[in-house]
Amino acid sequence: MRDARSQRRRRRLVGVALVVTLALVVLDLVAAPGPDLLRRGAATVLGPLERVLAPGDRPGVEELRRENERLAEDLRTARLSAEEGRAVAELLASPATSGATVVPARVVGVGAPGPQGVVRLTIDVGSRDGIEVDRTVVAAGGLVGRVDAVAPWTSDVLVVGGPDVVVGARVGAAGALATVGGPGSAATGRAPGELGMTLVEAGRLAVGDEVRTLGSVDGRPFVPGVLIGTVSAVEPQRGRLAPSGSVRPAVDIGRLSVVGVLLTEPRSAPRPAATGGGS
Amino acid sequence: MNVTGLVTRALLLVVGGVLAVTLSARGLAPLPDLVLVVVASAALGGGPRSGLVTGLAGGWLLDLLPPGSAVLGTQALLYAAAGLVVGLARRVGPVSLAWVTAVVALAAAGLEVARGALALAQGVPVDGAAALLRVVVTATAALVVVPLVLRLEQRAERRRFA
Repeated sequence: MRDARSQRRRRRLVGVALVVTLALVVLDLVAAPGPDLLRRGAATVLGPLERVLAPGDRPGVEELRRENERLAEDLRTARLSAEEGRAVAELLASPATSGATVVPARVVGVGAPGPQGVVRLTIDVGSRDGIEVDRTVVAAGGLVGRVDAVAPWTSDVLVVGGPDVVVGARVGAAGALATVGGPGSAATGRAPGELGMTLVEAGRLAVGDEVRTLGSVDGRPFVPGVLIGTVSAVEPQRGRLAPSGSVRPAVDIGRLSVVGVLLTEPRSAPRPAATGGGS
Repeated sequence: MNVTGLVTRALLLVVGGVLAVTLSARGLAPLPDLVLVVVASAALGGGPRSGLVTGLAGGWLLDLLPPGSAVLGTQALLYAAAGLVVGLARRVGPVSLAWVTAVVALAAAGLEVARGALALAQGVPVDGAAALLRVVVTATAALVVVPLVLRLEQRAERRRFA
């Protein structure tokens, strides 16, 4: 009798848990504030754990090991930090960060891998490092994505190519306007990892054209002029007004280790007017 | 299941989830879906409800562990469904490892198909070969991990009577 009652209670608890999960899915889909708070709380608690487990040097471990293990670890750490130092230097020297204030960061977590590849990742800088939502994230090669959520010690980045990132772009030397990514582009005709692109209006699109960010107001979420990739295929127009194609991204997201978050200051001085027609 | 068994299972889920996130940050691929393997162990040991609850908990962990998922709760529902299905495939008495591996491979393939369908619906191209490789690696991991987890949980259970 008592057993049956506890069974019923357990069944009810499982039902409640399922209903709560479904409710949270719906709340997150309609962008209600509750799930974001939950996500931020979880990132505050679990983010430091990921930072600790990230690749990098860990003082204190070596003393506990035998001599040869210690030396092997030292060598590995030295190689790793030399590699990271080189990656940071490369990042700071690359055109993607020229003239910008950059916060270098390490990728410490990559979202649950599915057949769609990497669409979200975690970096080891957060609000304590001055990171805010909707900042541009770049690597030495070009654009990585934008900051989506910020916790004190870590931030989550939405990667270009994911369903939630649409970038305004300029294509080729003529600078034709285009949108890259987003749900508007069909996924079936593209190789995995490539981005869909559609020109805003009629224009020329050629394989090999460089695709760069158009830029947003105050550089958020995207600063202008960062390389997104190169056009790898042009689709036949087939009655569509504007041509579309695929873009091979400039950055291999699967192999990222060091990235930079660009902190552009909003413009504060008014722009002086100029007189046209002179000389 | 007693408290020790619950804590053991929770710890296994956390280890599986954290390993998945941090190892893929090091560029390692393909990685086995360790959370699914723990969920499958619970389902094969305890039946559909046990699988559903463990899947829900493991999925929530993946939803919340940064960077998490785009829509909170999707992984929880996917893993709960996987746990339920694996639990329905439970057989009483000793079972062969081949059966365990086949069930986990089917569950992993189901998860990949569901995720792939979600991605295609959102306009993101999918990589079928990588998904297939992940299914194979997950099934191989299950071959080793499921018996270990079942034995560990049995020992945690037995400690109550010691």
